[in-house]
Amino acid sequence: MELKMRTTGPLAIGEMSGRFDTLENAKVSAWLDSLLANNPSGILLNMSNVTFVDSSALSLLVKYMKTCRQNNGDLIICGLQSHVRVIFDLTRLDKVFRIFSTEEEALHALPS
Amino acid sequence: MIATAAPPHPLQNFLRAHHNHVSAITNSWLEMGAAGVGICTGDGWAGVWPETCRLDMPGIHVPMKAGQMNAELWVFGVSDAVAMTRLEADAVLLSRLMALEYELVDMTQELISSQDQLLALFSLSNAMQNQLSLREVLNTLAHESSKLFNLIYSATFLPSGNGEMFHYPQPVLDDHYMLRVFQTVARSGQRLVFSEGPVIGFPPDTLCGLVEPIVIQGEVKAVLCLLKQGVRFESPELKLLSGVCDQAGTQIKNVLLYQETLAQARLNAEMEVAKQLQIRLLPHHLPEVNGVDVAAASLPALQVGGDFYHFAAQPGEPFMFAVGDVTGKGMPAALLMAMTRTLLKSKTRTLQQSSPVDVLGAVNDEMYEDYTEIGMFSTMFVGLYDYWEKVLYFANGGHSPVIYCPAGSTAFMLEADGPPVGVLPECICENQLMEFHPGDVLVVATDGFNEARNPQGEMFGYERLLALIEASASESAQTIVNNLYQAVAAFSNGNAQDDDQTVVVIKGVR
Repeated sequence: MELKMRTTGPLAIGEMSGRFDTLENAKVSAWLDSLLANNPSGILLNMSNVTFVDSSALSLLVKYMKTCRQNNGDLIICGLQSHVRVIFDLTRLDKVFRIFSTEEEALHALPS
Repeated sequence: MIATAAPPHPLQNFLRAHHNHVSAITNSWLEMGAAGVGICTGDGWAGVWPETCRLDMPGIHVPMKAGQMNAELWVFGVSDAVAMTRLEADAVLLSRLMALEYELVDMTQELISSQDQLLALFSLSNAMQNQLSLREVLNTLAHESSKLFNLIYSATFLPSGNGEMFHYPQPVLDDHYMLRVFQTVARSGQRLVFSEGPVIGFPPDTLCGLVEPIVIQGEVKAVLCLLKQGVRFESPELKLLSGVCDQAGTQIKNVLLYQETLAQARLNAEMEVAKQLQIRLLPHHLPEVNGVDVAAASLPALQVGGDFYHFAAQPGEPFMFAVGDVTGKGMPAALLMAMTRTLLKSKTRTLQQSSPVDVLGAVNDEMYEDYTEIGMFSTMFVGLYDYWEKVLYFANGGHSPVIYCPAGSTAFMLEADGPPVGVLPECICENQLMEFHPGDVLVVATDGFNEARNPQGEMFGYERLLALIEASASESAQTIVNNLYQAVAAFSNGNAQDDDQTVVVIKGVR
């Protein structure tokens, strides 16, 4: 999968694309670590080009969400494709993460 | 007291070896009327003929030279020009003879030392081939190369793993220094030549050092460091050295491969034990419960995984059951599964009259820290069937698929109302309630079924699952379980099972 990073103000914006599964965990984990190193409190993950997530991918996102919240920040998700969104809904992780339809919507809702 | 004899001067060796030739020349001078003949060096007289000759009488002399050796040829008791001419001719002859002798000695020594090196090389390769541990290979390499190159110090250094360093005969360079030179060599991939005499307490230009890379699968993984007296390593030594290090690299690669195979075999054996243990952790018998027909099965994937289920059936009490799936695979998932299931077992026993949310909440409270530490979570469905009321209470922490098919009706999914165990510090699920009559079917499966793939990469999915359960709903719980496995296996069509497939089926009966 491809991982890109941008920064807007205090928030790191990460763009992910492709399949997000066990095989990609180590790579994504290292990437999120580097995002956190520069922006310890906030990550906005744009997942609009992610085509698949499995349960180990979800546990990785939960792990980093917990880390962010411990630092009074958050890991926020936007742009989920409908079949990926279903996986968040089924596991009720939609009640745990702040999920926005688009990046603009997320940035608008967040305090700058 | 025994006097220690000084080693014979090379010139004396020469005079002994060419006694006949030298005698012919000296005898001829004595016959011509000379009082004596002598050969001397800066250290004194190497030979005098006759031995009784007085060395203070007048004589003539000429220089002799062969390689680094300077000497003088003397004749006593003569002084004319003819004698001088002849003496000069004799000196040229003897010098030439001496030069030939030295060349021969040098060549012999070179032959001996190259034979020594061949022997050392043979013993090095023999010694290394017999070693099956990395420590022994590195130790042998340091030890044998010291003999091979006539060194004052040699060391091998392999920084990966715990880091291994061997010195011979005594430590001279420390591991910080070695790490530094290793990094330099690893970056360049080239041998490093250095002159470290002053650094380690030797006078300048008395000591030369060399760090040779040991390459394993195209990467510098270790180095051999050598120190010897002298100004430089000669070209044949360098060639030999790179040969030695090539061989060492191959041997280290073999040892690593062997160790990897061994570790893999050990791991496989341990995993097999873990898998067996995990299967034993699941209930051995299906419970007999008034009002419902119960069936369950779990088919682990190749690796140990995190699926589990549990039944708590006590006479006269509602029947409690649970199904869960710890994320991920392998040992961490298996360990968390074992812990979670043990806790579940004790909570269903101790929390008398408890509801599904009580159990789910208690497990979440106790396991949240562990799940957070390891970075995992576990979906969990807990159900409670009340025979007297004909109702089913349930709490669902992020678990799917849970399929409910009322008798004679359409099957649908029961969605979770809270996230999995270990995600939030507090359980936010609520107890849900539905009537459960004879003919109603509840299937609590794990995602190993809907995520099973066929060789084309297509997933079995929820739609097929719902259709299958609807079609099998009139069968017994056990037949529904069997149909489910058969359908998914037929769909997978030989494609490897990626994830555990676990299912509990509860069917209302009269």
